[in-house]
Amino acid sequence: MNVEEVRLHATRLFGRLMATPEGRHFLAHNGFQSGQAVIVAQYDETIQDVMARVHAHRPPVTVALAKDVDADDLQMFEVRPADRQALDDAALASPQATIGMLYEAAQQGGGNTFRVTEWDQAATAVSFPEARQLLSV
Amino acid sequence: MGRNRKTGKKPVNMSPTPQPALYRPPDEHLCEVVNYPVFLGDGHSLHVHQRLYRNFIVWFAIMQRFENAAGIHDVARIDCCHGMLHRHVFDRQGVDLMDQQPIATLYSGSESWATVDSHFTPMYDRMLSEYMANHRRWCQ
Repeated sequence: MNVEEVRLHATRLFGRLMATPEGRHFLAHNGFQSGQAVIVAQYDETIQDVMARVHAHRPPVTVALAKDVDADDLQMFEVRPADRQALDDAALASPQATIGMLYEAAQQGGGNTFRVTEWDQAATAVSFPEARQLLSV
Repeated sequence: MGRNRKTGKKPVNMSPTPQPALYRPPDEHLCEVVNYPVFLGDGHSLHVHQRLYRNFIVWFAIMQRFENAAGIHDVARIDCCHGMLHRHVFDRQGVDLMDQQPIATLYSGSESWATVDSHFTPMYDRMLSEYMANHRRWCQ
């Protein structure tokens, strides 16, 4: 089965961040650690599909999204388990909503805890909007 | 050494020409080691190992892997082991179809860290541009 070109593009952009001291510092500053899994996805994939892939790996997991192959615009957020209090306060996210919508919500909230309906686990998504600035240099 | 008495010619220099030493990265324990697996879905993944020293990538390996019901398989690899930037492309039996295809020889020197660092992005992009071709070759 072919890999979608937009996923290859997101992978390419992530590698570009890891190629420079500034990009590595940016990721480390946002909690990225060696060994941490990176899931690349398309902007319009459902939360359910992406979270199924996320949960195959030990948290925290970084999700990297690209909208299209012509833009050097990488959107990232980290998914990590939420504590009990956060779980109670978590916003419900429809599993059929897109992961792109979740990113937008995380970006606006600066750190958005959500729970996908029909799933027991909650996760906190923290967006890394500054990645755009680094990649646009 | 003197000249040949009969011909008056200088003797031929038979001593071996010194070759520049091949590149060796700083010891691993002196470096920051960064590994990251990137999962592209449907069993496809890219695994990157970087050794960082003084803000340079002084050693790296980029591996393409594929996971199916039979296990996890190496599909391709670009690395800079043994003073040589080279590429491997594997078949299902794990045989290197390229026999460590050389891309560039790396020599020791004052610029060697910067040289290795400068190879990272082109090699990473190359791996991605050849990604599906590598996979198709592995599937054959």
